Amino acid sequence: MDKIGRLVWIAVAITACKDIDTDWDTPAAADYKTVGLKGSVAVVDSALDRLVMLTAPTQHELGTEAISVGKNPTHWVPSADRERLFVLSRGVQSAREDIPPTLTVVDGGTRPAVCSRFELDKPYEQLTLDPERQWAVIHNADTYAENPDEILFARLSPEANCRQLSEDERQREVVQITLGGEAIDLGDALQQDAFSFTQELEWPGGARRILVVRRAETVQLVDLSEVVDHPERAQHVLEMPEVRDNEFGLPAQVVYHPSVPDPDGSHHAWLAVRLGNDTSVLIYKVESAAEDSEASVAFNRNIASIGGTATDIEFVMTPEGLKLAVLVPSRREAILIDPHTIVTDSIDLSAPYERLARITDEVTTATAPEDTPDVALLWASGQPSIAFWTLARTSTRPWGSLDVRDTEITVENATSVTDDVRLDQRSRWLLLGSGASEFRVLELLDRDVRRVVIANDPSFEVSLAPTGDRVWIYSPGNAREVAMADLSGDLLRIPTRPVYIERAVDTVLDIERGDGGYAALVLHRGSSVTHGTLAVTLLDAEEPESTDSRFFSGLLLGGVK
Amino acid sequence: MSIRARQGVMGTHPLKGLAAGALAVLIVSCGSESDAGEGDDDDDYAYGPQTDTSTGVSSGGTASSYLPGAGAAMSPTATGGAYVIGYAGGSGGYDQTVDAGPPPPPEEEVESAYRAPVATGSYLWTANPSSGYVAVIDVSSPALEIQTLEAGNAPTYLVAVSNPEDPNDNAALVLNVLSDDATLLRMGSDPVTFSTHQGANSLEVSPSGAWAVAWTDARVVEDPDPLDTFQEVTVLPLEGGAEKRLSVGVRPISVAFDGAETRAFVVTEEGITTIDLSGPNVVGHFEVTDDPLDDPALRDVTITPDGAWALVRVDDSPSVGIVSLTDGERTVFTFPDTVTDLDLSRDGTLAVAVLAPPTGQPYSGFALLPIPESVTDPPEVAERISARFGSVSVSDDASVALLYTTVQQEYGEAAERVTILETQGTEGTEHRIEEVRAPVRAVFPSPDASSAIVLQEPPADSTRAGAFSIVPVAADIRPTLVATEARPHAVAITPDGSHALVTVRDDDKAVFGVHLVELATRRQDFIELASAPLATGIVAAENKGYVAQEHPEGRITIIDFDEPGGSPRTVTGFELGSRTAR
Repeated sequence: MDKIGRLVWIAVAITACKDIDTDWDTPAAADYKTVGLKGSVAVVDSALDRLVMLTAPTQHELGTEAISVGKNPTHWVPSADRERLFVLSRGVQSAREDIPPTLTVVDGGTRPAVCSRFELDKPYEQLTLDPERQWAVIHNADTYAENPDEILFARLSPEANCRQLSEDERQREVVQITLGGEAIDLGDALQQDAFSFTQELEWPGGARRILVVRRAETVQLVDLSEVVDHPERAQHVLEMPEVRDNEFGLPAQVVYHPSVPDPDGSHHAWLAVRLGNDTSVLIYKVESAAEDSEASVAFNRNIASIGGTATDIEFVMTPEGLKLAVLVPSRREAILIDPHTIVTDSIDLSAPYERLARITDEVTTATAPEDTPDVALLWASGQPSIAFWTLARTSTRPWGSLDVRDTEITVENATSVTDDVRLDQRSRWLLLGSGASEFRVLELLDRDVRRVVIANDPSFEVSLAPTGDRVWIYSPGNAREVAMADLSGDLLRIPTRPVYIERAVDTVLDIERGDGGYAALVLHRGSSVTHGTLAVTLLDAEEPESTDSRFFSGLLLGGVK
Repeated sequence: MSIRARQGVMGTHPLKGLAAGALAVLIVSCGSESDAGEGDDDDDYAYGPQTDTSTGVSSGGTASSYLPGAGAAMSPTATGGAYVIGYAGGSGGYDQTVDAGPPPPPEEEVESAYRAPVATGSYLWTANPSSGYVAVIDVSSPALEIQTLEAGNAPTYLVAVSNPEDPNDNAALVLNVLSDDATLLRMGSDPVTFSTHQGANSLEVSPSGAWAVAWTDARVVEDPDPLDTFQEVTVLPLEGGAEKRLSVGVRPISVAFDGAETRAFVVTEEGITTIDLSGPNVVGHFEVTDDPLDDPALRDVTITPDGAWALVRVDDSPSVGIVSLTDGERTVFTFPDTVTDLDLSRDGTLAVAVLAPPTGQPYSGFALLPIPESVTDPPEVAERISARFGSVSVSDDASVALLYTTVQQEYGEAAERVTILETQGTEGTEHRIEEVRAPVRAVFPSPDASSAIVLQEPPADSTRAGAFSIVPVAADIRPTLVATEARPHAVAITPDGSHALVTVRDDDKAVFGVHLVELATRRQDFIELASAPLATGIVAAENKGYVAQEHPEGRITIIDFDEPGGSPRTVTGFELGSRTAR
């Protein structure tokens, strides 16, 4: 080749190199995050502004697919049912580039795809999902928003097959509203994790869902039936009392009961607010406003003093009707408040229970009357017992019976295995402690507390399968073994099945397979992995065998050109 | 205290702060001793003045002096008429050999010493001295919606301002003690402020709502100096015009208006000062007694609703004076025994005087004084009943008087009886005596005179905290006794006499509640309350009752008389706003 030819060749080569995707030059993220979804695992590759979706089409296959989620993903939240992943990206706002922020909704099934993209006006950093998957609230634009009360509502639609949507069909719009609007000067800041959604509540004018907003000194209620068509209309603000000089009540928790019948046959929703900085609890009954009132909704309010710091509240049904149950662990008591008269009754619990969860639906039949007295589960961090509180009157205890079960471990966390699914009509909870080489599975119907022992390893973690019938037990970092606890049977003992893994385990995620089965993806990262920073050992979730596993590495290289 | 004010959509000023809450109303009439002795029934005759040999009282003439039984005061000199009235039937079969002992000990009188929410139409008003706001609760609204209206500095004393010509005209007047002014609050209108004299702590509003008088009640002033005469009053023209400060007699006791609302009367320790409202100016002073040495504290002056007459009773005296508020003429009625109580019906047509002979006598007496007829046509006789009583409570329509005693330690079982006296029977008065089984503290007749609520003390050998009785008055049915877990505290009765509320309170045991009573059937339901009751009353327009309770943010329970069990609804936090964007 003559000199000119070489020069030409070099020029062509240089030009061609410049066309090669700069992704190759981008260092991989050091601590990429993973999210287990229903049929896939999302690996957030923020370095390349994408998700790498891992799937298991068959028992021995692992699929990878890269999905763009906008520039600079900053916040991601899976839906409660793990069918969707919501990713907020802040885009780029600079003199040289202007890439708008986005919200991307990804189908987390066995065939991942983008379902929706919402273009945003500012880089928001917080996202709250509606458990019923009708809404997403996008908030906290931080330094980019003049008014922190500007939030976005994204209406979600149940796309059946996101893969078949065109890019245009995926583009959706958000609705921006200003909390309070022009009519109400709110004046107090939003709290962290301020937003929560209710189910449908009895409401003047018809049942509807409400967005509850906890602020520093008020509770705001946003009518979701009005928010799109009339974004600044029908917002209600409930003021908290002044608890000390220049200090107002901080709403720490808001609970509700959607519908309670009155003696006259009318139904009303009830709300209650626990203050984080006072011993008062506020109770509201939602009523129709007076005929000559400008508003259509009025809130009959009451304040109850409970003599101690409450840690949890919940509306419960008792033989005497609706009550608000308040846990006061400092006094080892529960307080039952009649919402109509604010008369309180103290119930000795003999233990400092901190948390309460109604489990009535899980321990009663579907045909039980609406006014069946509630059953509640009580527990507390550091307490080696849980209690079933049945709110039916007994001959010796007017406020029900307390059935205490020894857990032998101090319970730090109690989690329902599944919210909606019952395994063979039995509901179970996981009771996780600290510093113990074991955890408990609580069988609600029989009130059995079953042990699951992890040999000599108090630092274990658990990963619950979305179906609720398996728990994976592992120790992140060094151990080369995982164990699967089978919760599907009703045996007195829960069988655990250890599986040897060649490499150190980072996490285990249980997903649906494309062929109808279930796969367990054991993720590995860091120095134990070659060819990139992420690798997977693929197991059959229902019959895991180390001899029947498959190993895959270089997963983050997928899709890089 | 920090106050955060925002302009809400509803035009209110939601605040945070401590609300004062309302205070209790408990009104009990006083009375004198009586002795439930054996003896004949009284004889009712009607004949002229006579000498009662049992007491040595001689009667007759326009002015008289007499020698009553030992311990009775001298009769005052009357400027108009003076009448000495003896018992019908002379000695009447009573034992005249009993040594006339000392006068009976005074009846226990439970005065109203509290301020309460006031009701106008369908609204309840309650003042919060701390925040400077008055909360108005709409009792007709399902949620008990509350508006807050701005008053002055420390609004404390609140009165309703009624407008008989427009029941929907809801207004209240409040005294702001730290700014020395009064604010007239009217729904749907801007507040109107009137300056008052310094230290005003009481208000009286005329029946039409056109006038109010702010005055200072020395009895509620803490440690008043002997030189504090509190002689200033302020007349407030509520329909427009400038307020005016005037000087009246020493230490006012009460204020009233005449029927035409051309004059106001201020009862003071020195007598009665008359104010001409057209000025307004002080135009006169009437003496109520000729005795310069008498203690004003022993004097009980009541003005009739039409403002035409003042009735005067003096402790330990057998005399009652009626003073004309037109010309000041006094007519004195002297009775054979000490007048221990005098009660005027609400309609002002009848006063009943209770006559209690000295301890040991088996009877008590009474006299009916029709107003104004008695002035020119005095009753010819006083009557005696073989029962011991020293207090009286007359029904609103004057048809019934309830006679009783609160001095149990002197009269034992007599304190466990109530005598029901029909004043307008075709054959004259008729009476019956009802056993209520526990000592009486106070008696409250219903406005329609069909029933009465009797508050009682538990007997010494009872373990219950208190009791009250539901006494059918119109029907000859035995009373119903209700034992309570806490001491009865206050009573409210509906205008139609259908229901009553009796609050109970025991701070030590933290027992708080209200008994909802259906008077016709004498059925009662107990409603537990979350905090101590302070006041109870009726919102007649809604056929509901209320119990205001102690709570720093304000708490009230509304009881619906149309609903079984009262269907109580409580609201707490009067100034906690809820705003709605529209």
